[in-house]
Amino acid sequence: MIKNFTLGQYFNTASVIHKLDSRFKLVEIIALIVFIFLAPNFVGIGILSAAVLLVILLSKVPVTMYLRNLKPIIAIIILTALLNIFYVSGGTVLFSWWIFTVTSEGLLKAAFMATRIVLMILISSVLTYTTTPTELTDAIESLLSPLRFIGLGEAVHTLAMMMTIALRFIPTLTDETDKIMSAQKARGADMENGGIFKRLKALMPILIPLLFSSVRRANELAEAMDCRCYTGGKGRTRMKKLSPTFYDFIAIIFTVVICASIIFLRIF
Amino acid sequence: MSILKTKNLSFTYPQISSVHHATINDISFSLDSGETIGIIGHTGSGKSTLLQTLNGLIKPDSGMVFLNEKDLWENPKEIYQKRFKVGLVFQYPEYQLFEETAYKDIAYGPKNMGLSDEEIDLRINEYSALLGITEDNLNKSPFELSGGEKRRVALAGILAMEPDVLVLDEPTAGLDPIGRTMLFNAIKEYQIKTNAGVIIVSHSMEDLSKMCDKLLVLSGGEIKKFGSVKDVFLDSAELNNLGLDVPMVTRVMLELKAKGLDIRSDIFTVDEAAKEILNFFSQSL
Repeated sequence: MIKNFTLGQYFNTASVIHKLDSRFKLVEIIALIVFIFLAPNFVGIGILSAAVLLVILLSKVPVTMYLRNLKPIIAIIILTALLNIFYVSGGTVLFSWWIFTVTSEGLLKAAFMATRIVLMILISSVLTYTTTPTELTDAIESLLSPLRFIGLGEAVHTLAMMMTIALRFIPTLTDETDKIMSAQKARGADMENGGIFKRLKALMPILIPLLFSSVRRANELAEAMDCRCYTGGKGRTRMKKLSPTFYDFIAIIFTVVICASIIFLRIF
Repeated sequence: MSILKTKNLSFTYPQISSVHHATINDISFSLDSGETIGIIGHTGSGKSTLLQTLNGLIKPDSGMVFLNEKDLWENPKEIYQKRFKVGLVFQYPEYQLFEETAYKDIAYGPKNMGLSDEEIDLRINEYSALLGITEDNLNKSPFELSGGEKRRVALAGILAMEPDVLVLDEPTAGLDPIGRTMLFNAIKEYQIKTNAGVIIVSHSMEDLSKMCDKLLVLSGGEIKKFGSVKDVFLDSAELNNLGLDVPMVTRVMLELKAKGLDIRSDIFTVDEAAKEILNFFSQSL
């Protein structure tokens, strides 16, 4: 049913990208995303495309896995492209019909925007494929830790813990949804046919048990955490300490060079 | 007459699926009406996958399922109607309850069948009586009931569809001994009344030896053995190889025999064993 659901899915190939310190990786990837949107022209986008391609190849995750993440947003990409084709004027007119006019400028702009979105999706997929949810939340917690100086230390920890738990339970809940759906189908639930209202109604037998079991799981988890003396972030240490390596050094330089070249392109 | 038959059934889950699912390969067996088949196999042997092909929740990659001598997938659009004929009770079925009252929840399946309200009411009364669900509990929210009571409501929801074949995936998991006996008695009673074919997956060899006519041993998605309870349990060495075991009482009898007692070891229930041991003593005295 919900088989091609890849959010928060870690794909371990033990590549250099996997080995990077998740704090740096997160910042680097955010920087790349920002600079994808700052890139002023095709030269900039070209540099970024090359960089993203290199990172994808280094990650050793099959390219098909990345392409699968593009599938859900194809509609958005096409819509953006179409809007740009028709709304951007300038350049030579290539084609004109009724109120629609396609110009060379419009086509270029459309290609430019589409590439931007694709690059953004690809680079964020690198993050989710090469970083475990735990590493990711550790990184967020660590990056937000300066907030403790304004008395928000506990809030940061709670937020990170909540994210870890939420991500951890996504596969469990999809599995559970599958099971409940099968069980209701075995009782003749018909979810494929009928109008929208009928289908919404057919969802109730799935949503209610799912909600109920989520609450039950949450209770059980809370009890299990209590049993292991969880008292929040204070005085909590880690089994896996994040520590930068030589690869991180290279990755930082790589990112700085890419970003600097984009700034250079923008200024000159 | 065979009521449910499979022929060279095979199914493999798509590779991209993140959760590991077991595959099945070349499964052929047949179930007669009034007959009970037990399926044994360790975790990941393909039991659950096989069960879901029997009522069309999973469409096999190859091979066929015949229900009352007719191809189950004859008309894919009507597959959900077939599910009323092959009632599948999942593991921990109490997690599927969702209605405001137990009564309404049992009515869900029959309502999907398009039965009249009177007929539904009749069936609910009949099957809740069969399963020992009190009037009082019928009007309660299913979430207020105890675990065992919920299980019985869930089972009643399937029985009320009056399926020709009843398929149960570990129906007694997590129940106390009284709950187990009660559930099995209800299943037996239903079978006597409707002459339905029953398929039970269980890890309890004791339960299976009590309930079943035949046993089907699954391992790695393939049938390793299919025969009468006696045939399957007599080959205890083979079962051990597959990580399975014979009933505890059979083990006792085998040990006694190994100690040199002249005693039968093809015994699979406690009652039989008691009889045989008493018999042995009265002879030797």
